[in-house]
Order: sequence, then C-alpha cells, then structure tokens
Amino acid sequence: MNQANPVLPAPPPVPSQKGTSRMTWIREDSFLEKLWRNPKARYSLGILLVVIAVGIAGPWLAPHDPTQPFYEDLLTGPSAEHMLGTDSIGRDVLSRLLHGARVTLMVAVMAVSITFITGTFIGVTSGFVGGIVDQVLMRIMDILLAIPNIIMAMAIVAILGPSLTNAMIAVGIAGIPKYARLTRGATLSVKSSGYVEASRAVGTSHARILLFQIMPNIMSPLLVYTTLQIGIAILDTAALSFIGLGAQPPTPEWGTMLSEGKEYIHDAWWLATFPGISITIVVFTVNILGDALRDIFDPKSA
Amino acid sequence: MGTTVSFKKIVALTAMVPLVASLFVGCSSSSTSNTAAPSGTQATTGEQPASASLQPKKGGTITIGLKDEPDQLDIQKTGMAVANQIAGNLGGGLVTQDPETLEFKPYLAESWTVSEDGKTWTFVIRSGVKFQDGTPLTAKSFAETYQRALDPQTAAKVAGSNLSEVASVEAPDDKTLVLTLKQPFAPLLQYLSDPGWLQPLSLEAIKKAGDKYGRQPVGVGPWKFESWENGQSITFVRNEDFTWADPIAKNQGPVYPDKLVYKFINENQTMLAALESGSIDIASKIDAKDVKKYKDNPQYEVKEMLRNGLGLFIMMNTRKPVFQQLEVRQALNMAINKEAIMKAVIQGEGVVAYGPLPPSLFGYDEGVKDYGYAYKADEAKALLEKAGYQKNAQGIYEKDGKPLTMEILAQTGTWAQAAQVIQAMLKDVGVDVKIVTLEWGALVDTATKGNFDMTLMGYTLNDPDVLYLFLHSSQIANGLNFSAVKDDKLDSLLVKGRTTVDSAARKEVYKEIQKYVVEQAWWVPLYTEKQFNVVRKPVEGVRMHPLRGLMYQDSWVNQ
Amino acid sequence: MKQFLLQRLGSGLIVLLGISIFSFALIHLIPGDPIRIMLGENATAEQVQALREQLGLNQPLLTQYFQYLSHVVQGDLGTSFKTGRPVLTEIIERFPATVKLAASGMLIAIFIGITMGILAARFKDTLLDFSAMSLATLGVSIPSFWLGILLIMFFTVKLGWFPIAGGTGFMDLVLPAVTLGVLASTVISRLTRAGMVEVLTFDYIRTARAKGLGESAVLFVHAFRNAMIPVVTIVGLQIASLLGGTVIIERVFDWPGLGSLAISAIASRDFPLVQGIILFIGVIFVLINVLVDVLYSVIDPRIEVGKLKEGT
Repeated sequence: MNQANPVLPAPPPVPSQKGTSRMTWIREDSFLEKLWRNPKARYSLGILLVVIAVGIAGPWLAPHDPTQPFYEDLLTGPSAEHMLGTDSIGRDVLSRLLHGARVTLMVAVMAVSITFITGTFIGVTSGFVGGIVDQVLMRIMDILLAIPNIIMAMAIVAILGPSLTNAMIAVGIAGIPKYARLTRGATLSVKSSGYVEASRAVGTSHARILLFQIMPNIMSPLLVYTTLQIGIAILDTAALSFIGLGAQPPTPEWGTMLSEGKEYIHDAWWLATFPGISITIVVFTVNILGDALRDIFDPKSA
Repeated sequence: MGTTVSFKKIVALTAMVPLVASLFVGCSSSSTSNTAAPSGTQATTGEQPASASLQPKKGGTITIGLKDEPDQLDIQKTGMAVANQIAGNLGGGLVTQDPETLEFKPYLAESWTVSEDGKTWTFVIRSGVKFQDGTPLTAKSFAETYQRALDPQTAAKVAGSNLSEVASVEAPDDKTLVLTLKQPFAPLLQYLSDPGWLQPLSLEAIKKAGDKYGRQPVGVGPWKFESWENGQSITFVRNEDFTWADPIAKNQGPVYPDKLVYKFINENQTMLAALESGSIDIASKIDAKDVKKYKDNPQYEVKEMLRNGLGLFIMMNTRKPVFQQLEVRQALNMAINKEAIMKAVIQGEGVVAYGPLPPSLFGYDEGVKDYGYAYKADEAKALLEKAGYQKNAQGIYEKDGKPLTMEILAQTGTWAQAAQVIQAMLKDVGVDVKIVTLEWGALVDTATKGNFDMTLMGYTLNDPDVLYLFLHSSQIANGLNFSAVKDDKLDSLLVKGRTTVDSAARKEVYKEIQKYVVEQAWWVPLYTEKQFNVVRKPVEGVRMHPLRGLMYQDSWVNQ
Repeated sequence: MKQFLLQRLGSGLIVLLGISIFSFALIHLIPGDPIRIMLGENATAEQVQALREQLGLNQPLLTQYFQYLSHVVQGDLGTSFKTGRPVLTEIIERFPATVKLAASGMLIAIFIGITMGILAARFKDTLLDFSAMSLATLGVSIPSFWLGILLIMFFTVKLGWFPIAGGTGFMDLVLPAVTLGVLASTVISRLTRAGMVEVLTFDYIRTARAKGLGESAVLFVHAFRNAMIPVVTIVGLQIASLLGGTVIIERVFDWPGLGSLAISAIASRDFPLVQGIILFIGVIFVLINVLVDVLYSVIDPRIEVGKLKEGT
C-alpha cells in the first residue's frame, strides 16, 4: 500500500577538507558514537538485532516443525505445549512465527536490495550524467510514479504468477521510481558543490569522482531511505498476501500468517494477533531507526 | 509459472460443462436440515416451528450477502453459478422438483408425455402466465428461448450444454412444446426443473434492450429486476401480477417483501460483520468454523445442507507416467487420512467421501464405505515398494534415482489448508508434495492444459451424469476430465448411465461405475461438506430446496 | 504564470503518453496469446484469425499502439472480459466512491496530523512530543488490512456503532476513512512538527509573545501560517498517493471503489480492465500533480517554478 514516506533530510553539507570528506559518515568515532548516543537509534538497533538473531536462530529455537500438523490440537489457545497456540490445521504458531522471522526479513531485504541497487544506479546515472539521459530516465520514473505501488505490484504478480519470489520482485520494483528520484536529487546537490567542481578542474576522472566523492556523500540520505523502505517492503508483501498474491503455503511468512489468521479472528485471536504484532513491531522499529538516522545525519530537522 | 487465464476463457470452458459454473460458487446443494436439529439429522424442509404460528406480513426488504458478483444476468450468456442463483428469482422451470420426495411435478408445463423411444417429449404449457414486460408466456416463448440457447451465435454456456442432447425444439401451437432428443437422456427433467438456467425468456425484451439486456433482464418469476449498483448490489422488487407460484411453495400469490437485495461482500469477516450489524439479513456460504456462534444464538437461524457433489477430491493426472501405475494411485489413496483432513479444514462438518458420488446424489451406493480405501499408511508404503520405489536418504521414495516429488494445485482458502494437511500426510509416508495455490480461473486453465501432477477439485451437480463430464474420454480435450482418464469400459458405462431412463436400471449402472472408479483410483475422494447459510431473525420463512438452495417465495420480514 | 502552466501541462502530457505505453505493453507482457486467452481453448483457427484481424493484432506493434492510443483519446478503453461492458463505464461507476473515501481520509489525516504536529512542536522533547510522534509512526507501521479488521471487530461487531457494507453513506464512510486517515497522517504530523519547531525559534514569534499575545494566538495565527507551506505541498502530493492507499482498505471494508475493482479485475485476469484502471489512475495522478503545482504558485508566487519541481 502506499505508505507515506517520511520526508528525507537534505544531503549533508560537503566538507571542504579532502581528507575527511570521503569517510565522514562511517568513521567510527563519529557515526557509531552518534548512533550510540541517540537513544532512539540505540533501542531500535537493539530490538532489530534481536529480531535478526531470531531470524538466524529461529529454526533452532522453534519447539516444533512449522509445517507439522497436530491433528489432536486444532485451534488450541496458548498452552504449555504450544506457547502461542495452534492454527486451524494444528500447527504450532510459535514455531511458525520463529521460522517466519527469517522468511519475512529475507523477503524484505531482498526486495529492498532490488530497489536499492536499481534505484541508486538510475538515480546516480541520471544526476551525474545529466542532459538527455537525465530527462529520459526521470520521465520514465515519473510514469512509474503515477501508478500506485500496490497496483503496480499486483499487476507484476499477475503477470509473473503468484509466489513469494515474485511478490518480492514486485515489491522491489514498485519501490524503484521514488528511490531513483531521491538518489538523483542527492547526487545533483553533491555534484554542484564547489568541492566536486574543483576536483573536476584538476582533472580527476569521472569514475573517481563518482566512486570516491559522489557515492560516499549520498550514502547518508540513501541509508535513511533504505531503512524506511524495509518497513514499506514488509507491509507491501503482507498486503499482497492479503489479496492472495503472496507466499505459497505452507511457508510461514508473517503476512500470510496474518491473513490466514484474520479468518479466525472470532474464535482464535492468537492466530492473527501474534504475526500482526510481530510485523508492527519490526516495521515500527525500522521506522524509528530511520528517524534516528535522519536526526544524526541532519541535526537541523530534529 | 505464468498462469494465464482470462474470464472469457473460464466462461468458454463452462460452455462445455455446466458444473464448472457451479464450482465457481458451488451453487445448488442438497439435503436440508434445520437449525434446531442436531447436525447430521435430516429434517423436513421448510417448516419453521417458530414461524408456523406467525402470520406472514407484507412489506420490508430481505438483503442477502453473496461473495461473488455475477458478470451479467442474461442467463444464457453467463457461466457463473451466482448468476443462476440470482436469476432464479426472475424465472421458473417447465417442471419443478419436490424438495422432499425429489419427484418432478408440473409447473410452467401443466403436463408432459414421453414417446415410446424416449426421444420425443411433449409439454403442455400453462396459460395465464405473463412475462414482467407484459407479453404472455406461450409454447412459442419456450421454443424461441431454447432455440436461442442452441444457436451457436448466442454461445450459451450452461443452458446450451444442458440442452446438448436436444436435436430440435418446436411449438406447433401456443400450448404445445415438443423437444426432440438425439438419444434418450436421463438428466433432462432435472435440468428442466431449474428455475435459473432454462427459464423462459421474453425475446421481445431481449430485442428491445439489445446489448443492455444482461443488466436489465426480464422473466416470468416472482421478482422483478429493479437496479444493479455495480460492485455493490442487485435489487429486485415484487412482481405484483405473480399468481403462478411454484407448486412446492405455500404462498401461491405475490411474494411478501417489497424488495429483495443481493449484496456483494468478498471478505468473509466483513460478511459476518455485515450480518451482525444488520446490513444484511442472510449470509450465504458461511464456513463451518464461523457458524458455531450463530447456532447457539436465538437471533439467528442456521440453514445447513449437504453439498450435492464432492466438496473436495484429488485428481491425479494420468498423462504423467508416475500416475499410470495403479499401485501408486492406490497408495496415495491409502496414505491420506480423510477424517483428519475433514476435521482440520471444515471442523468435521461434512461426510467422508469414499467414492466419486456423494450420498446426496441419485445412484449413490452405500456399499462404497466398505470397499473404498481407508487410511492405511503401511499398506500405502508396501504398494509403493511393490511399484518399484525405494526410500532414499531423505526418507522420500524414489525409483531409478528420481524421487517421488509432485505438485498439487489448490485454490486459495480452505483448499490451500487441505493441501497443507495432505502435504504433511504424504510426507509421513515418503512422498514429497509442493503446493501451488491459484485462483479458481487460473487453476481450471492449468488443469485443462494438463500441465500439473495433482489438483484439488470439487463439484456441485444435481445428477450423477456429472461423472460423464469428469471421466468420459470425450471430455479430455475441452471438458473436465483433467485426469485424462481414457478407459473403454468406463466410457461405455458412462454413456449407459446417461441414456438409461428407467431409474432402477440406472441406479445399477452407477453402482457399477462407482465400484470401478474406486478400483482404478484415479481420484482420492476426500469429503462432502455441509453448507451453511445464516438468517437473521426478523426474516422468517426462508426455505431450503436440497438442489436449489434457499427459496424466498414464502419468506417475509417480521417487523 | 502562463508559461509555467504550459510547461507543467507539457511534461504532464509526456508522462501520460508514457503511461499509455506502459498500459499498452501490459497486455503484451502476459505470457501467451491474448486472443487465445480471450476466446478460450475451444476457439477454432478461423475464429482466432478473425478476432486477431478485428482487433488489429496482426498489424505491426507500433501501428497497434497508435490504434490503441487513438481509441483511448476517444474515450474507448476497450471492453471488460468479465462483463462485456466498456472499461471506461466500469471505472467511472466506481470512481466517485474512491474519491469520497480518499477525500475524507485526507481530511481526517490533515486533522490528526496538524493537531499532533502542533502539540509535538509546542511541547518539544517532552513525553507528549514523544508519544505523539510514536503514535504517528505506529500509524504507518501497522498493516492497514489488520487495522481495518480490528476496527470492524470493535466498532461494528462489538459496539454496533458503524454499519458495514451498507452502502456509501456517511456512517459507512467513517471506519474506512479513519483507517486511511491514520495511514496518511504520519507525514503531515511530522512535517507540521518540523515546520513549527523551526518557526517557533524565529524572532517575530518571540516578539509576538513579548507583546503578550495568548499562546494559542501565537501558535495558530502566527506560527502555523508560516509552517504550513511544506504541509500544503505534501497534502497535494498525498491526495494522489492516497488513491493507491485505498486499494487494500476498500477490500477490507467492502467499499465499492476503484481499488476493489482493481483487485477483482486482477483476480479474474480481466486484463483490459486492469489496463484501463492503470491508465485512469495515471491520468488522475498527473492531473492532480499539475493542479497542485499551479495552486501552489498561486498561493505563494515567490516560489520559483524550478525549485518547486526539485522539491517534489
């Protein structure tokens, strides 16, 4: 769905000293320390690390096989044996949730990678090369922007056929145009800084400028946006599952679990509640982290 | 996998076969029972103890929630069961079927006779019946209607297929209708009794409305079409002139309520919320899991019936070498615990199926319970080993280095749940199953192309002739024989089944067919489910017909 | 002004042309022969050939596209596979419901967003600020279909306050509009807060306070007016993106708009309808954007056209 994108910070001012410009955002004494000092960043990173750990260790933590039905325990509420209850065909909800953490995170990360790689490529090319290339690429992005995310994703899945991989691709592609525009904007403002113009004057190659001057300096807004995009990807995948265009059973993807669970909302509250809360917590945390990063990169807006 | 299906395609498919349409919504169903009656008990149709003492009142509106919106209401051009369900209010059949005895009785035909060879049927059409546009109903109207259905130009879907054995239709005078068949056809009266698909149409109204007829239909029935709010609802008003009610109804005059509204609500939970908030009076096709709380609540009346068809069965694709081995097919039949599936997927609200016919259909053989396959995992394994399969390191059977891995197609929703249980059961035995969920249209498309290993399927039809459509070799190319069963013995039995008009003899034929189909194990029958409709209290006198579903001729609103 | 208008319309037209290419391409991207799909498996070779010629699909792709374009310009978006009715009719019938939902959603979003934004800015760095901003973030973090179902469960089933699937009247509108409003309020509250925080440090605010003006007068009359410019822009842009936000919400609440039409069109593989909806939404999106740009330059003529475009 068209989640509103919080507004991005302006690209950071480009420092005038050559030595520090390149790695400012990643220098440990500044970036990591700032992260640690920002409570929002500290807590959200903490929560996310736990979620990622669960994603990695989930299969070992899970008490049961996530696809194993217990025919004697259909739709039972939380109990000692099944801590978060069982679903309609007797599968352990906790085990599915733990396995699902990995699936859900993987899907989001893969989708965002598609967005990030393609979007950055288009945006940087457009901003750096300029001229007719810029015009053409940006008009194409305008065209794609005019079609709402979810409808675009639905159309792509309708063409490719429903599967988790295709949902991931669709969500990834649907995110590209907005991302490309932002990257272009950041690239343009770095490019027009006196510093880059100076390097040009002394004959630094385009490739060097691109790699060592443009890229590092557009990274901070991109990092903010990429973080936020992960939340959007999780929600869009869940929305696709809701209309039956997402993961194939018995894959325990959270969005699929939530939309299966909503059918039992009267009699088995635990089915929708746990995946719903899990999704909300992860997306919320990711959004807070995005906020915190914005504050760090662009203290003015705080 | 790039499934490509269009609506036209689905509709085109249904042109060949009536029940695809029924599969859409799984329309008419069987075997009525009553709210008060414990589940499984056959109750008498209709008669509500509560409403019996009350006097029906005129006025009010009955609103019914449906999941799907029809494409149009030109009953000959649509292929959707939901269109038939709605358009049934506009029409009536030549004959009608008693909901209790299932006997055929005169309705729009006062009487009928059959020639010695069973090929010429002569109907005497009732007089005094008028279409809602004012034109009188005559034998000629019926003749023109059926000729239109048979005209390839119309591309009539279900109506065309129901009349496929009809060679010609004549109306020598206003009262006489003569149907000449190509060969005797046992299901004919069954089809003619449907108030939807084969209802008479006013050719005048069709000519006048032109392209728009599908959205302003005219019939002879108790309800008159009023409006269609796209994406929302279809509204009917009372036909004040209606004095020719179906003899199976108590009310022989115009219906009581002022209006009948069908509302389209796709999401299950939204439908239930609409029922509870009073936006609709009747929620149709409610899942077993949701029905419990309404059964205990005196504000609601739950109408349940056993589907007249198999609600769920697995079709194996015999085009694939693996399923050409009888032992493999039988092994899969024994590897699946039907009771457990029924319990998990439909909360046990149905009956386990052992053969290709449900108890609700004519010709069902009780004996099938004894010779049908029961759950015997060990025997299943033994059969697979006999077929030359060995377990590999992963615990999956394999032969010549190829593991026993197969895909199963399932519709999203309850079928997908069933597929997951099947997957787990077959995994226990040593067969690896992958699930592909598709929407209905895409599933039929894939199955028609023969591009699958196994598929889940369900059907609803009023006559055992359904097996001809699913298993006769002529139905492989464009019909519903997705399993591609080509068996000469079965072919001749199926033809015998549809051309044997004597009912005792016909029953014997179907007994033999069931036994043979079970033996050959092309399908894994799973269950026939109960279907639930929930009626909110101010609405009284909603009756059930085992083969048509809810009837509103006697219904009224207790305001 | 006139030149600006022409320029915006010009680039809008280019985008529209692009959208028409995209939606045209859609039907050619579907694996398989569209004619076969339309006619079904039983069609004879002659029928296929006849329809191919009738639809001009035997012509070169470019010719086909121009034919498609000329039909579109004349308002002919093709015929729905499912209902056999003109695609444009299907869309036009559903559009008002979506506009109604999107507009009320927007109003609710503006109300929630501005209230929360002002409060958060006024009480910057307090618990109130923190709670308001957390709530705003929560609004975009919860899957909207789940939020919708929870609202139905509580307000319709439990309390019986609002009907559902009753039609498109006021009472029916409340729950879906709130769901949509919650979703869209986040950006507005964030922007309002940021704008207000900045403005509140300005000299003239201090002057106003010093003059003894009441706090609410300072907040709402002086500060708010100046903090509003970015908010107005984003509201304009959001109206367009709300059209997408309605898709899932319409489905949950059984709202008979374009979104539920799009979902059912995709489910039934009704490609001409899908194509038509994409084109239609694209056109609306472009029109709204042009309109917002124009309005914006009217409200604040100081803003240069070029800068504005960069900003969006």
